Amino acid sequence: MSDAAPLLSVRDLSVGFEGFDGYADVVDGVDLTVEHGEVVTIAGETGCGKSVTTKAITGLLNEPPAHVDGTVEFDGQDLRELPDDERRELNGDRISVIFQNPLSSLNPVFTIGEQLTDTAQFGGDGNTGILGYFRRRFSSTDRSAARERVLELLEEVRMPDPESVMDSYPSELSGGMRQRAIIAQALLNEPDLLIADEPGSALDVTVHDEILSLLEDLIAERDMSILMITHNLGVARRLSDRVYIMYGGRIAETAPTAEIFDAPHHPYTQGLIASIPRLSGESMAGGIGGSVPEYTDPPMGCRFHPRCPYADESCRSSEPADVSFGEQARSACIRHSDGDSGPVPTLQETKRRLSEHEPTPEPAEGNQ
Amino acid sequence: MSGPVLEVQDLKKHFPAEGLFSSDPPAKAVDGVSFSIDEGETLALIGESGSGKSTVAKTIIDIHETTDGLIRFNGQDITDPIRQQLAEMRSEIQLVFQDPTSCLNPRRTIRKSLLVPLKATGVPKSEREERVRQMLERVGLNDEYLYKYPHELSGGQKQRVNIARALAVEPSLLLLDEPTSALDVSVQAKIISLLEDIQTEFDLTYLFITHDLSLVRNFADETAVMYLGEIQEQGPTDRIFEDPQHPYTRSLLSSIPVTSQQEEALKPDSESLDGEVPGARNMPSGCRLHPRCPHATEDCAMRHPDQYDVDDRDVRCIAYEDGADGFERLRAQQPVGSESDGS
Repeated sequence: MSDAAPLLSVRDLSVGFEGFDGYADVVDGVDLTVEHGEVVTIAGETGCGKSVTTKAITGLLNEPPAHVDGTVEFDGQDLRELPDDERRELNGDRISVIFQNPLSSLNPVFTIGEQLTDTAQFGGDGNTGILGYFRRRFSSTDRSAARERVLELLEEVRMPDPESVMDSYPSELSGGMRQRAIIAQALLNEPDLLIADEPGSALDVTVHDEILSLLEDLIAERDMSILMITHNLGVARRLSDRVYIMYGGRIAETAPTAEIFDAPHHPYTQGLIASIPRLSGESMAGGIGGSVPEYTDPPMGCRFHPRCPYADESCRSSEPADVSFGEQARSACIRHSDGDSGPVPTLQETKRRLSEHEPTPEPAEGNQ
Repeated sequence: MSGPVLEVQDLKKHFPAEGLFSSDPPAKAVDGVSFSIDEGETLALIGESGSGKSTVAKTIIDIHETTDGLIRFNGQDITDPIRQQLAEMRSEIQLVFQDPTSCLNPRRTIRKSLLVPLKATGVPKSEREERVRQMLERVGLNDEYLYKYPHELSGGQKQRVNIARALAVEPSLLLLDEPTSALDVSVQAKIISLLEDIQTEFDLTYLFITHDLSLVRNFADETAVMYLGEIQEQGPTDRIFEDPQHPYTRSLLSSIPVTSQQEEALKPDSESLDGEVPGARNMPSGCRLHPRCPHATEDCAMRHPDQYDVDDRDVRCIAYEDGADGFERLRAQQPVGSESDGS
């Protein structure tokens, strides 16, 4: 863990889908890194490409109609070059994924104990197919030891009454308990990287809060990097060290958490932060007009320009380059000039403009 | 001056167990809820899933029959409306649902969808087209949208259409059932400011149902926090946010993930609840929160708490039985049971 290279490094990742309406360019040139022990969040609204990005990283989009381009480097190895079985081994052993809907990631016909013990015993075993099945069926690995570990982990995720949960089916558990089971399963093989897609966001606030504090504790106790996805900026602020804000399949801005909330640079980040309802009753800016772009026909130039209160002709004609603000922060907007001396949009000004701004009308939508 | 627009007294809605010979107890979705809303005011009804907040709205508008209690609209009893009343009431009270997509017929153009309520309430044919156009424009959609189908609209635009449709019959009371929870924050903020604008313009009264406390602070005059079919705390919104009393309100407030240090400071000390909301069929005895409450005592399991008046608020917690300093007493006493301080 001492090497300086990041644990996960994604460069120029692009994902597209062949569809009925033409080619949808859903992720376009995403660069991101996760350092050892770092908690990184990708935040954005529905349809900004955040889930697709992680699916491409985990190798779930390797077949048509999806087209993936770019490099995904994990601990020095290019994941996209790895043969399937090696990759599968890596996915079970060193990279774990928590998907959004806990119910659909648990098998309804096996008990929690059976499923989790399987993971503990064979996780990261690249043998699939009938041969793999027999090898596993008659393997000498001790099942009761695996069971012990599952119980330990269920305790660690504060599962109420773990013994009886082991013998329960997923349908018998509440939403919060399922989420805990999923988290336990993801941690069984002590992954180096945990990818979590909206953990617990389908739950009620009070239960969600418990899951978040569980994650907080796990982050503190374990030497693990996390790449988290969320649409809830409050969750991003609570858990992560660094935040990526995505819009329209591109990274709009990234910065350490405190910085992005205190002094956001990109007009989209500013608009987003200004739209969040506040506990303090501070008035919202009135939101960002318009809606997310159609990926089959994305806007020219900057993809945010039809909704941006600062946009002019130059935003349509040229793609914004990343401008860095300090070591870890960068933002892609042509309003930034080089360095931090330029006329950077301010949160106050963006709020004012957003309340007056009318989004430019979208071009006639695809199918009539 | 003229009394409240909507008055609900001890409203109950119990759903009997299914099956002819079933001996299961009924699900008490709403169990003794009372509130009233004055003209032009907004009451927010807050709660987690299963708290009965949507059932309240559906019972008011007679989608569900009331089991017990009284609903008055402009002083008139509409608990079990007769046909004539129902027609009148439907043009005065409108409901906006959570999911903007399932509320619009996918085979009708927006224009057709908007004409339906006008036809139903007997607006003369000559006026209908103009009204549709006006309403669409009022919610920020131009004539282009008249002949579009729902699938051509984004979620926010669909919700605008739903609001336009509710406004078309010129109601005086809108029941808003989580109108923005299916939308992204940047769109949600737009819809909320639209709702604020039309409230002053058309002098509307709102019952705003949501699970998102932070939305309410700016929007509602009064707030009622529901849990398992009962209102646990009710009072002026500012008071509830600045000085929450009921343990449930406090934990709800403290569990919101916020985005600034300033808001962090506003949250009460973290007091997380144990476990999850039990079903409405196996209601806990005594206080409904007691199995999850960090301050519960044996007494809480035995006695059902009344509502107590704690500086201009109603709080349903037995700690307040002996006066308004109930929370101090709660905090002072050692919690019983397995709950230990989070090590």
